[in-house]
Amino acid sequence: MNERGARVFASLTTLAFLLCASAAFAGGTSESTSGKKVQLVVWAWDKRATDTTWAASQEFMKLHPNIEVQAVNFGTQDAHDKVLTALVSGVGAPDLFLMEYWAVGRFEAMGALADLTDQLSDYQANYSPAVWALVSYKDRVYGLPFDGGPAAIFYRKDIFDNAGIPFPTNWQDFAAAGRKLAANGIYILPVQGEVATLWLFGRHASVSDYDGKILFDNPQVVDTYQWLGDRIAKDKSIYYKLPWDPSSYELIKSGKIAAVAAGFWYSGFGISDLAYTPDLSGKWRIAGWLPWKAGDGATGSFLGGAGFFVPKQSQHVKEAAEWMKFVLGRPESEYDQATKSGIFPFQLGAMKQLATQTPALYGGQQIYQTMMDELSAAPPVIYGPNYAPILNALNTALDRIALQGVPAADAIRDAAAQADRERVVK
Amino acid sequence: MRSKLGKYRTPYLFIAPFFVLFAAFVLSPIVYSLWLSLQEVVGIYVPLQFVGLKNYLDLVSDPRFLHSLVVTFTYTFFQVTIMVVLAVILALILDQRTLRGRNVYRLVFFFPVITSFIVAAMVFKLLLDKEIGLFNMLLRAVHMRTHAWLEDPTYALPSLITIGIWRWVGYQMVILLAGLQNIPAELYDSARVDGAGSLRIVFRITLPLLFPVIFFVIVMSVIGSLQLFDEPFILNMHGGGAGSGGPADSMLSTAIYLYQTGFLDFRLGYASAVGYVLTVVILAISLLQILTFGKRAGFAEI
Repeated sequence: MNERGARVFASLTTLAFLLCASAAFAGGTSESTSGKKVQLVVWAWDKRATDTTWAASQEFMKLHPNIEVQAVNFGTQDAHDKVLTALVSGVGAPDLFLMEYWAVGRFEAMGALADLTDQLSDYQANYSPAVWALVSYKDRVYGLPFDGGPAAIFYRKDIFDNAGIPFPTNWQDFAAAGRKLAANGIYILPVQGEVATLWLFGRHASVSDYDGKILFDNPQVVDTYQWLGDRIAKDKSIYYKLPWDPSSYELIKSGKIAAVAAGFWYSGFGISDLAYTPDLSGKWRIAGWLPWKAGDGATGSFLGGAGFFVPKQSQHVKEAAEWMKFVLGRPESEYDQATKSGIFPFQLGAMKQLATQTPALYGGQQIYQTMMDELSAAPPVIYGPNYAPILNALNTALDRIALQGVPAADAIRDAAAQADRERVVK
Repeated sequence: MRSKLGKYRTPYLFIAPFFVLFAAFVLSPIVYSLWLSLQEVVGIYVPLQFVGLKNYLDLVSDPRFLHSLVVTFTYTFFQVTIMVVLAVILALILDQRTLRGRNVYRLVFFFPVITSFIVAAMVFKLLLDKEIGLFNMLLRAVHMRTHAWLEDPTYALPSLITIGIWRWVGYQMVILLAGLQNIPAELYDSARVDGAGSLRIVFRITLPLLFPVIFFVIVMSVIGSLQLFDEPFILNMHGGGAGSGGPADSMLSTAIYLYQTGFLDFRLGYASAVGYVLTVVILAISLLQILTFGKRAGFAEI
């Protein structure tokens, strides 16, 4: 190559690199280059769960030929980190993103979410108040629910039957049942940090208010965490820290775990994974969240679950809201999600349609009816804008109580101080 | 100057892509995060608030940050020390020409380096599980006490150190092997002629001549270990939530704390300050190592 040729080659290479770099920067642009089509970029996670969503998107595109939906799947944590990075840097955010409900407060406090109250408030009547509270914040509406975590106790009826224990009706009886099972070398339940909040919300205990004030330093929380710590350390009836990953199935398959407390989304897991052990099919049952002690009224709780939201920087807020209404807002689409992916429907209409369904995994139980009953008793949950440091501090507190024998009153007091120090919204 | 630049225009153009990308993706974030560490970041549409050195001053009295430094130093000290000793021993053994199948062994020890850690972490979680883990099963078989290796705050960090050693020892071994090949064979021959035994040869010839490579391995490992992130992040991804510091914060490395403050709590200014302090600590320790042993290891020019 002569020098001139080499120079041209070098210039072109540099240019190519720069173009690649600028293309990377422009990853989230939403204007289509072909014609005037609007491109809606949607970020979500878990391909299995979102398959039905993408199928509904295809239908949506047929109805709106001027809109092209571009679906991108990440891992859960990746999706959160990428959304945060895009929002903070001001470029590259999608038009819609799947986000866990607990993060609504923190994104709202950052001023990152598009206010969809005008477009979506008509849909409020389709949902129960506790569910609507998950996608709204301080009376403004920011999205629609995708999957949800009304609390559920998935239990192995055969294990309880073999031990001659009827399934308990409150948590104090549950503790007694746990001690009996523990004597046979069976854990009644696995618990890891985040799961512990189920008991708090089930007892109507708030961890934070809408403005981010830390509220969990109170006797009710201390009492709940001491109770959990005692079950883990003294009774050895609760298996502490079963991770939500395939390694957990090995333990569940081994029959050493009698029940799992989770959000209803675990049934989506269950249908896809637990059903691979054919001998366990039909042995599972679902119970709604239990009252704290005998004589307490019915209650409910929430764990996890996610909805779709629109960042303020999206150029297509109107189209994004239309997508939500079609893909998430119709009872038919939720019905599809539930029957094909095992995702819990949140709309009252879809729930009624499903009430008589009896999935084989649960031995003919009307599981959706059980969940509907629970939802009608579930109190709304306020995660607040500082839920990440709150959860982190509570997790550490439970570790200290359960594993290091620290009294709950001390651990919770330290956790409240830690969360207060680390909260971003003061 | 101009004529010089004109003369070398083509080579400069050839190396330009690196510098352009470096400036865009490495240098500018470094400078920007320094700027960010002097700000309080409250929202996305709220202007940054200049707070001077407040973030740095807050760090001094932040018990979790100080705890994260203790965790990071403890991890680094034990992981690097044990790993380097093991790597040297493995390299010495696998350097023996008489050892049959030594390439197979080299490959086996190098496998963890090329294995995706996500996969390895899953395997370790199963191996170290308190109920169905192989490790506890073996302990039960010989009637020894079992432990929750990854969930108990007492054993979590030692488990993490062990996993760290498993992951990197093969890599260091390969570097040391390359160093061993550079030691002239005549030295060994003449030592043998002089009647030196194997151990004496190792301590008097091999190790002193290998010292520059060992030193390099130590410096690089310390830098790597002080940035400990992948292992605790992935191991705790599903147990205590992504980015958790492990049981009772026993695996809270400084890099994990940085992630928590930045990506979970959204305190981006504070997270930048954590990042800068970690960088300064790494620089200081590396410099200290080079000043102390650098001359012996052939870093005399520094």
